[in-house]
Amino acid sequence: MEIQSSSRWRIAGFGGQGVILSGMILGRAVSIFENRHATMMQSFGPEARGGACSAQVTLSDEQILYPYVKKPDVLVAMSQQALGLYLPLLRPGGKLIYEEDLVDIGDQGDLPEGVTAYGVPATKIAEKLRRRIVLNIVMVGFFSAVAPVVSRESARKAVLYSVPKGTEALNGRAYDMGYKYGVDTYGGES
Amino acid sequence: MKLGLDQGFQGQYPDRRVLNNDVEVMIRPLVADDEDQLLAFYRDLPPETRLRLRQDNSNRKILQRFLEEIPLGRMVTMGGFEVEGEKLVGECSLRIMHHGWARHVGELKYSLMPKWSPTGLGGILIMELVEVASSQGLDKLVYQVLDDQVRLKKMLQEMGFVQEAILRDHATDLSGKKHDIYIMSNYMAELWRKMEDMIMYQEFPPLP
Repeated sequence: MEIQSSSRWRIAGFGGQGVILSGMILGRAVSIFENRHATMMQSFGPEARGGACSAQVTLSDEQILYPYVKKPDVLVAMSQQALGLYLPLLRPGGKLIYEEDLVDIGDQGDLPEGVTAYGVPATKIAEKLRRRIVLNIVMVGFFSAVAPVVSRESARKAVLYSVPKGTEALNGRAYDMGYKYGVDTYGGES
Repeated sequence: MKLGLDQGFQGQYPDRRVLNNDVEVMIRPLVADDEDQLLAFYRDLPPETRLRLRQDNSNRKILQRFLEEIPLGRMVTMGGFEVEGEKLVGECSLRIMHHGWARHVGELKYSLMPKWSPTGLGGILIMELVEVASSQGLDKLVYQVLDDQVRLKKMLQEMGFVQEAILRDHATDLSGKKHDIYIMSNYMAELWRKMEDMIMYQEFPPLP
């Protein structure tokens, strides 16, 4: 798949799922490791752990003058609430990426016009690695395979750069497993 | 505390991994039936590597004592094999106490054919056993490094191990030379707590 020159993303889920870190990794991959441009805005619900949480990420080859994402090209939904809130805003022809054990998208025919859905059992993959906390890194691997806005190499480097020292190996594997699932299930470069 | 590998772990082996040099290896836990493979592996190690072995497993009797620990759950040993011919090229062991005041501590050690040293195989074998240690409820891992094992020490530091103590002239290698031992340790729960803390801090930053 060809790497897109610009893209607006909304990544949303519960607090504690690593939603913000996913957005941060995506932005770092583009800005630090590819010398392009990225912005991120984040918002939280009033609750403590478990409340709604979302990141708005804009990626571009050009300078970004407006960081808010009103109508994303890509929606990453990691909770049912996030899908309900943000799916109506997804641009026609956009991509919906969702955690298939946490989000039920219903009938594909109910999706907005031209939207393609990509599901990944990220929690199950993370559980195979015996660390549910790497769910978000599995998602990063998956979305860098099915919605390539950054090279695999840069995304992986950004993962290893962003996670705590000592956890790199397992996070690297989580990334690889998410990426592989994306390539094996939906095609793309391996 | 569980003894040995649980079913979930048993089911995921043998597994294949791609090394830094793009060569594929097969990894799986070693069992008593691997005695001849292990013996050949230790006997093939070059003298300078054998000198630094904690115990001389190229001696069949010593190796048998080592292997007796596996079915008792006191030792989990992960082997790295060449895919073609299934020759053993590296092994890493996790020793678990199960009782006493260090029952939450596991001790790692590994040996590798020198040719395989720069490929990342050592790190892969250690990380496998870090996951096993985590599933066994261990909180802390230690590794005893000799003073001249500089590359090994660096690799452990990259994996989050920190130097906790030095025991002066505490090891005598097979040639009779004395060495300092560096005790490297890694608190696994702490490591993953850092990841959780990082996520929570980002998603719910403290109020200004």
